[in-house]
Amino acid sequence: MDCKKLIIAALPLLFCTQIQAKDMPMFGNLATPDVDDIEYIDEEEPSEREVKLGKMLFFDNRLSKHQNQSCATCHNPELGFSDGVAKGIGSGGDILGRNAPHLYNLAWSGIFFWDGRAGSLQEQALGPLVSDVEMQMTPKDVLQRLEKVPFYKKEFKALYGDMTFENVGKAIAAFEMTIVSDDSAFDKYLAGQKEAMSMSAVRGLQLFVGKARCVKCHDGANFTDDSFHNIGIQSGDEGRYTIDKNKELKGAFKTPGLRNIIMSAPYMHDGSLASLEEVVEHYDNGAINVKNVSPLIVPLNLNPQEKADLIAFMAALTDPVVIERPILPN
Amino acid sequence: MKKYALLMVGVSSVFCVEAATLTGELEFVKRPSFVGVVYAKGGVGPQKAELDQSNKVFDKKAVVIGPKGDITFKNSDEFQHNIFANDPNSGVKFDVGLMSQGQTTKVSADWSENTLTRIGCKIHPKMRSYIANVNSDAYQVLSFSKKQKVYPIKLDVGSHTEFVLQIPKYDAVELKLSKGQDTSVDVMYKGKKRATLKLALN
Repeated sequence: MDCKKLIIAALPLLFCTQIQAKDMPMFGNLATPDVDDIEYIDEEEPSEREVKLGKMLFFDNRLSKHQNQSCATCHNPELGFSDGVAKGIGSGGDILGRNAPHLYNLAWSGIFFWDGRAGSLQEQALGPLVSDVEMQMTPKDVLQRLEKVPFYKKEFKALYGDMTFENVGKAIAAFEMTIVSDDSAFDKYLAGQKEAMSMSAVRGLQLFVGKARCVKCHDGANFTDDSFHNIGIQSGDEGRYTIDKNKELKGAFKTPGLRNIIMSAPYMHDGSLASLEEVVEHYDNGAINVKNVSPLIVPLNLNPQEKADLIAFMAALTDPVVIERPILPN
Repeated sequence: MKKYALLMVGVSSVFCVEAATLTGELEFVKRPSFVGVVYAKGGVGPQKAELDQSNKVFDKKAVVIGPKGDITFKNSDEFQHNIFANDPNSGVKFDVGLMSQGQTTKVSADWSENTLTRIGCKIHPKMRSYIANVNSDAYQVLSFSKKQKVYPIKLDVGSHTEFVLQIPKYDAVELKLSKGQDTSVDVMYKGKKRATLKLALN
């Protein structure tokens, strides 16, 4: 092959490379989650035995006052680890104050609940158990119930040396840390399988990190900055401000991660938006004249195609986590 | 002039006799922690330090400051931040308030020395860094990454012979070495061995 032929052969390759580089969106910090980035409780990965115990506790109705609810009632694996309703219902029939958030990839999170009142997953796991309106137990009730089950007694002794309320949280958190979604179409696309996402989803990704400004908050491998923002949902709930009296945090709630988000409708802290279409519409409008709204929320002027593309991209973040319900010990 | 030259020779020979280097390594058994600081006890410590924020992270995993020294916090980020400390381990509590892009603020390290204090951002709870308040002029910050288990240590320590390793939440390691001596100690976290520290003073 002479030199001329080589140049001619290389031209299309060069052209393709340029097209790809030009079309390649800037992803910011969006990525596939890396297990090496997980900050484990006590800096140690939970054992399989601990995860198994936590899974049983997660599904065990004996942890609610009327023995009619488990963690999985509001965080149902078949409903995207949420419950499909705007606001959950407690063990005694009370309507709860906020929407049940999904549990995907919480292993990477550093702050929990819509208002961030728990600093660890272990602390979070115990919150609903002793809430007056949720599972309505006391730490003493929980331990009395579990001590009657020989399997639990044996497992707590073997794993922790003792059955304590704190260790119940530790075990549940160990299981929750295994709810990992990291093989969505988006992850495949990032790994180089460009056909994994539709053209609409690819356009949606470009909008997500660009014109639609989603990445300002839904940033990082799990599409959350773990921060708090008032996004203009007027529910009368002061959110993070009830925990931290910083006026910037009035009506601010934790940014939820978006992995498998298509599975956990309805949306927002009060479950007031029924679909992702409504969510995109809300952000497109920009929450003008809403008191205390974050300066990050501005009108987006998206056209119908752009709105559809954004939803296609969010759908490309789907990688369901299938959980087989355990047989509970007597 | 001769006198000056003689004086210089005298000073440099004292230096030659006294100057020592601390070398070694810290090897984690499993996953490394976030950051560590190894230092020689003695000295005043730096009187100025700077910590910046951009892309929702602090630019350093730890800053070293001497007692009463000033730390300047900067915000180069497009986002607002609110640095605070509320660390029960070191007893340090402060809140610098909301900082917009381009703002700076100063905090004086007027708390107990030889402490490692966690700081964070109230707006972005995943952000973290540490302030090492040490009266030391010979120190090394060890920035750990999850994928690397072994970290080399090399410090010019002058005539100092007492050394400290601090890692957040771990038991602090304090040891004394004579010139020519080496040692190996376990680094513990909640009663479990998490790393081995090997040091030699030469």
